[in-house]
Amino acid sequence: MERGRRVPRDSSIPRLPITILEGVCDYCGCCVGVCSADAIELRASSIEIDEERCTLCMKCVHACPLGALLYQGTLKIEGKP
Amino acid sequence: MNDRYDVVVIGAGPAGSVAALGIAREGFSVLLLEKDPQVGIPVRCGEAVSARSLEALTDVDPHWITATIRRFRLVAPSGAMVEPDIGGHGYILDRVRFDGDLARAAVDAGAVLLTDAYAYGLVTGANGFEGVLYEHEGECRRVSARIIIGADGVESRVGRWAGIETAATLRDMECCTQMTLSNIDTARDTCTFYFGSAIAPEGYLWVFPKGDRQANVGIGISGTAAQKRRPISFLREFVSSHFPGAVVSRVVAGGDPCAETLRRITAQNVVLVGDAARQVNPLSGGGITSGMQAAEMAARAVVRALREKRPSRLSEYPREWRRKIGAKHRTYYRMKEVVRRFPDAALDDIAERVLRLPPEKRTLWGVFKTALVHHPSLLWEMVRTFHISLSD
Ligand SMILES: Cc1cc2nc3c(=O)[nH]c(=O)nc-3n(C[C@H](O)[C@H](O)[C@H](O)COP(=O)(O)OP(=O)(O)OC[C@H]3O[C@@H](n4cnc5c(N)ncnc54)[C@H](O)[C@@H]3O)c2cc1C
Ligand code: SF4
Ligand code: SF4
Repeated sequence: MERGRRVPRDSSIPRLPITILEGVCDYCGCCVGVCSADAIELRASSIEIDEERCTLCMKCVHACPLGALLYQGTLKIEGKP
Repeated sequence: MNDRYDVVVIGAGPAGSVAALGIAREGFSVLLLEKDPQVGIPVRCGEAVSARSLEALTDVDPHWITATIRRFRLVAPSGAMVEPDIGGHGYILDRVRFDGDLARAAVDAGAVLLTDAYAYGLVTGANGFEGVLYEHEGECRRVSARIIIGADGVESRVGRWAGIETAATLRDMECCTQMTLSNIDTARDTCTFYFGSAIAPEGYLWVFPKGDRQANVGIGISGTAAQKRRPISFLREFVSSHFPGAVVSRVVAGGDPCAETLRRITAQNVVLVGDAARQVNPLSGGGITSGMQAAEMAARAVVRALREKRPSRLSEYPREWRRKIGAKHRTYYRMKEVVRRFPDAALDDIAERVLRLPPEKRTLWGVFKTALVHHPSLLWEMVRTFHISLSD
């Protein structure tokens, strides 16, 4: 088993309703520390949420000291306008 | 570079470097992986430590010290200030130098340090975990290890990969923002702590002096409070009202997991140390020296396990940690829970009463007694502050 590697996205899965404000994020890891789903991939200066693992618990959105994670409240389906 | 080591350590913070040093100097091969391009940068830390704790761990290099702390100033919500005599001293470190030197000591002892190396998974085999997957220079690599140490900080994932639930609750995660200010007037030997729901709900705000007219000014509040208003928003308001002419040289975010130590800090041949194991003092949020202490214990257990080829020896580490520090942290955690519930009015009242004491009685003990008599639960608040950097 190899964990942590990103898998190609299945486009039938709804797009994640969390937006990361990359210009605001400081890559501090506070969000990763509260995520029970191991869904956040945080490198030295990049951050990604794995949509397939994320359970939309919103803990990361609440914990971010800078407010860099925004919940949009609606599910967007990729491919649809 | 080898693709096989006795031990791979993930994360070159204080805990990872101390663990790597302890194992490498016994002659075992160690690879230390760090995702950042340079060890110690960025600094997401107030940098305060107790002199006593640090001196027990290492010879203190004067270059690490930006200020020596001899006084605490506690500011109640009303603005009333109490300056208890702290009966010891602390340091504000330069963690760029400090973390860098700790990593260098590990390298000097024979460890191999690789920066820009991001671990993204473990390799599972028949006998536990066989190695680590990491990215370096855009390439995915794999390294085999007999024992793997997760020293990957608050953002730790190594424990999860090994099957340990490590996520902190919102209540326990102190969500932090810190500014390094220059061009300010602040006493060079005094750490100031501000309490109260308007300044730092479910946490505190700190001003730690750093050398010449500089200070780390930061805030940590629980995730449940941060959800209502961001730490950065509280901090901006504080800085503009308290340090109007300040030059802000750096702004960082951070998470401080003020939880009890994880129930499991080893899983087969995987060992967690430092913030990754939630070994922060949950009352003060201080985790530099406690992480280093844990790393020393872990290194001893790892060395025994390697020498005797008996992974079961690793279990000596959690046992030693619980006995020597974990049990205390459990008590501090309970104290934190009490402090959290303390209303602003009670904090103000105790500050008033302490200020009515003659100056020579304004020792920490004087504060304790006043607190104990008038507001028994305030005792915890004082203990909390006392433990911030002067004790463990
Ligand atoms: C704002 C703030 C203020 C604080 N103030 C104080 C204080 O005044 N005094 C005090 O004692 N403590 C303080 N703390 C706590 C203290 O900073 C930590 O407890 C301490 O740094 C923990 O050390 P560590 O080695 O466990 O983790 P860290 O120092 O966080 O090191 C972990 C390392 O692992 C690396 N890493 C993470 N994931 C990976 C990966 N996948 N692959 C490779 N590398 C990885 C990281 O880049 C990092 O370098 C504060 C914390 C915060 C957030
Ligand atoms: S908590 Fe916020 S600032 Fe920190 S890494 Fe996550 S999104 Fe970025
Ligand atoms: S919403 Fe929950 S599961 Fe999804 S990334 Fe954030 S913390 Fe993890």
